[in-house]
Amino acid sequence: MTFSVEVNGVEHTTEPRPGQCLRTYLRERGCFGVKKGCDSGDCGACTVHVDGVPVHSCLYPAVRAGGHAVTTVEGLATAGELHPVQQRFLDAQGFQCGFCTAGFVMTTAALDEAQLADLPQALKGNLCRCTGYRAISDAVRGVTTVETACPGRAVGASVAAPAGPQVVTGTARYTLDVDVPGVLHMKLLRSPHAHARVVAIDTADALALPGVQAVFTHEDAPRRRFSSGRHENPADDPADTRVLDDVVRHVGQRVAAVVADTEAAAEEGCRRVRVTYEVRPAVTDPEEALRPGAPLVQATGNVVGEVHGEVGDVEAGFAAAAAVYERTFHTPRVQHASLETHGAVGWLEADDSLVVRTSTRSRSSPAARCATCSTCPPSRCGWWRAASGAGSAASRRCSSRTWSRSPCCNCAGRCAWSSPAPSSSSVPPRGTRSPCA
Amino acid sequence: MDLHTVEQWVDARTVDAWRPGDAWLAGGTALFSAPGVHLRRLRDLGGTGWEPLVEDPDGRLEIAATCTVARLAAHPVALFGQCCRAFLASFTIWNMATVGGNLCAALPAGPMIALTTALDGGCLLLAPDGAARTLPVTAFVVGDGRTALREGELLRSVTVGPLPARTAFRQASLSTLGRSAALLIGTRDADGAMTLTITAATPRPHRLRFAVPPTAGELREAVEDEVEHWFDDLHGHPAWRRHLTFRFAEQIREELS
Ligand SMILES: Cc1cc2nc3c(=O)[nH]c(=O)nc-3n(C[C@H](O)[C@H](O)[C@H](O)COP(=O)(O)OP(=O)(O)OC[C@H]3O[C@@H](n4cnc5c(N)ncnc54)[C@H](O)[C@@H]3O)c2cc1C
Ligand code: FES
Ligand code: FES
Repeated sequence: MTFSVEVNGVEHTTEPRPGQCLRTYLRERGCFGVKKGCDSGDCGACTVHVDGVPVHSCLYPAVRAGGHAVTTVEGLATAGELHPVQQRFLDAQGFQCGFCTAGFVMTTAALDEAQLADLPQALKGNLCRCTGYRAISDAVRGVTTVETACPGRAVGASVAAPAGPQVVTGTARYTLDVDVPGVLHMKLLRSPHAHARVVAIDTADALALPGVQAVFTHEDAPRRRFSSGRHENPADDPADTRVLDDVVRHVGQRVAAVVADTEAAAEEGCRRVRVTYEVRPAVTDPEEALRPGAPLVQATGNVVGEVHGEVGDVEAGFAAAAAVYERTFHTPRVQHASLETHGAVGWLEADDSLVVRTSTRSRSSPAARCATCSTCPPSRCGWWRAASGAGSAASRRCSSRTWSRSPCCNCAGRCAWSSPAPSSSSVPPRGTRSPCA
Repeated sequence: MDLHTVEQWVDARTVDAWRPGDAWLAGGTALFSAPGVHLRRLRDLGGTGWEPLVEDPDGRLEIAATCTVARLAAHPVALFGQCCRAFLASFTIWNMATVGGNLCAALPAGPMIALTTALDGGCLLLAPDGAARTLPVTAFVVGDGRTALREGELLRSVTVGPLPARTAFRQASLSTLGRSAALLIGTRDADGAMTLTITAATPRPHRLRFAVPPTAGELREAVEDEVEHWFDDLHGHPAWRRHLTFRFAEQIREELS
């Protein structure tokens, strides 16, 4: 029996891989409006309709779509007319970064009257990092909040975001919404230890795997360190890490990078890399790290910086106060969950300049840092800032986006620079995709 | 997510010997939500065509393992809808997730486990050689993520008893509409007998049966005797789950007495 699925009215006969989910099948067919926020059914950014029924395409086995009609956000508008739900999301500007919007639009388009009466229940399968849901519930209920910037009354008008039409139709292009022919995939092997020295890494089994093109370890990485939390002024943050280090300082730190023709081969390659660790005492609490004798995270000590500040004369204020309430306050470290996953794509242009496409709010500092940790000169390092799926502070820099995780853009950049790359302009650029999430 | 280690996909109806790395695929909402690197082959139950709900003349309802949660949610019995809404999962997941998949995933917060336990469900299991056996749900789900399924065995259906005259339902989670930290169901039969089902607060489902409604003290004692472990994970502290259980148990007793 031959496979056939109708996607937005077009028949596709490419057989899915046995364990493939519908989300990647659709994206491989060019439906980049189908997003990945979690890949595990929680966020709803991948919602599509199968025969009109809304499902999470990241959980939907692609093989099962055979014989059915799939509608993605790209197929919702008919004859050039926006679907009413798309129009309402525009009228209420029911988005900010827009990464969740395709999913919300698809779910909303399938709601019946009873479900519309209970939005928290009806929309609990769709998560939004940015809006606080207010703008989304306005959109679902058909409230219009956008205003026209009329001459004389333009200042203060609530005008629509310029990218709105692309956002509601799924045509806005985020980091990985690009087809790079011949792209290689990178997966990272991560440390299971909070603190350890990498004594030996055996990559032979991984390299022997069909499809694996390269395995990078600390032995391939420049010895130069860079700051994983770099601000504009490089002196603000200490250079604390190497792209791949021979000392790991937290669970999940990258230890090796496997580059392969497919994600499957890259993942299997990671499982075949054998690492011998010499586990060291670890400290994972900042207060304990300050105590004498605490295990040293860096040879230079556990204090990387101090910030002191006061506004006015605090001592004088206390002295003059009728009552003084003095406490030590602790806040948890909170990371907002941007819906777009961390990742980057890198490739070499025909003139050998390195292009890295990533989700960041800044171009210059990641480019400078990438140049630091690959051997690519900065003048040949281009940084492509795609639409950002929940920007904010955490995507200001290429790796703070990933905090203690991998600076995936650095890896992608370094890999594209070091992989066997065709240099002839007649050959398509060879790229590397490094999804770190 | 893509299950990269899966090499083959077979229709479950094809008679093919069970191999290591095989897994039954129902809705896929649990299977496709985690990497599952042990998986090599999926045996797809999607084409079985089993009738989702079959009612017999005695009022017993046979729920096919492949009956979707969405199908059950559309059933007029209030308790069915209450249990479906107790999923953390949204209706978009209900369209794919199955009742059998929920029992086999055996999560403490499995609301289909709660429902079928409360209604005295019996699981029909088929071995690869065709041999059948039945187990009550309380003997089928034996722990967090653990069932009595043997290698290659298939859950065919779960049959629930005639609907009790009255039911009472209580559920709580750390966040609104979140994953259950405690889910309790009480039933009262026409002959006066009462049952209390405790799930989510405990690693496996428990069902207590009383010929007549117990006193508050008797109920407390029975729960204390029955529950050996309070479940501990990030969805709720065991002491809180215990507290909720006693509180809800008493509310249910009062409601059904
Ligand atoms: C966002 C989200 C929220 C969720 N919330 C909850 C929740 O609140 N509570 C909860 O319990 N679960 C929850 N789940 C997990 C899951 O969706 C449900 O447990 C669901 O009912 C599983 O059914 P399924 O048909 O999709 O199972 P599948 O994923 O197809 O299978 C689950 C497991 O059971 C086995 N299996 C399936 N059917 C059979 C059978 N007939 N015989 C033998 N083995 C079988 C499979 O091999 C697999 O190991 C959630 C999932 C997501 C993505
Ligand atoms: S629900 Fe599918 S990507 Fe999040
Ligand atoms: S607009 Fe919803 S995640 Fe950014």
